[in-house]
Amino acid sequence: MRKPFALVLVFLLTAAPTLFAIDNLKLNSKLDYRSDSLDGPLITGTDTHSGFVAGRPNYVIIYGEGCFNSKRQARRTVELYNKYRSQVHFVVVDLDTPRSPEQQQLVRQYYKGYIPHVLVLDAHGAPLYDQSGEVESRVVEDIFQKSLGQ
Amino acid sequence: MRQNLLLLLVGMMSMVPAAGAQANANHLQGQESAYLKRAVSQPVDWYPWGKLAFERAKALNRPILLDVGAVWCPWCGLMDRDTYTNGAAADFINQHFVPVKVDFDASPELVAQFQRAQAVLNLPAGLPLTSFITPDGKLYFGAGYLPAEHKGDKPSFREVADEALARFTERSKIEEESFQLEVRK
Repeated sequence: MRKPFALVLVFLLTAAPTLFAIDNLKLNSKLDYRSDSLDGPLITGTDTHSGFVAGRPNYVIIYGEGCFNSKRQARRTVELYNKYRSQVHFVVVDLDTPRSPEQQQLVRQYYKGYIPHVLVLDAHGAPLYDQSGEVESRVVEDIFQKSLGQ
Repeated sequence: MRQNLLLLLVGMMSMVPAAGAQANANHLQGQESAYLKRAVSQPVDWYPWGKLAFERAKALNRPILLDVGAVWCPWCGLMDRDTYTNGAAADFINQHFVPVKVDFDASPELVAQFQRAQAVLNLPAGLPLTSFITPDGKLYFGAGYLPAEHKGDKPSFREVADEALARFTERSKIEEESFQLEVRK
């Protein structure tokens, strides 16, 4: 009887970050990449309120909905998610909608007032990349790969 | 005597149009930025960002209503058209706030400060930015685009402005949650 309990406990402890992580990230298909139009949230998914999750690298995008550069970075974000979702935790912070306390912690600590803002945090939460503006995917992938020890 | 009267009359007549023009303009006259120039003849008594506006807010004990926008921002244009050029809305604003307008493109560092403040307070931080600030420079409430009338889950400008006034009167909430801005210039 004790063994199944222990197994469930181990499963929960290892799976917890994944269970509460953002999943099924999708790019808003109505985005107009040629203007600063307001097209709604740039990225949708389940549990888009999640914050930093320890134990693996985290990619964070802080964006505004009516921002041309944020839209372009959102597209890269979903591409990166589709490639690294099993190894990297993705955090999506929409500055135009109310944010969870976990996301507010990231906003308070890192957001300087310019969008988009991109962060890559290591498994312990130390920043590996912390810049405002668009960033090419290969730059982020290099950081991911170093952080993942590849 | 007659000549003096005539000169006085001519002098007065030439001054009337100038006085009239000044009465129709707000404190944005002489500003260089396109977004502020566009608002010079709005009925809202806009001030540019700076000490003068804060001194007036202190003297009148009123909050500052801050509008940050840009000429290329369609939602900023919509707020200008629907709210800030509406006579009744302008009267309400002029009666209860010291209104200040800032051009996003002309003052990127200043605007970054406002956007960070709204983000830290878990308020929308895009454009247009509608903020409410105490006379001593604490940003305590705000929103993004606000329609003239309540639309779906979007409150109207008037509803948000009323809430801002209520919070300003209450004050205790402001002490609990606000963001101190740097007021220079």
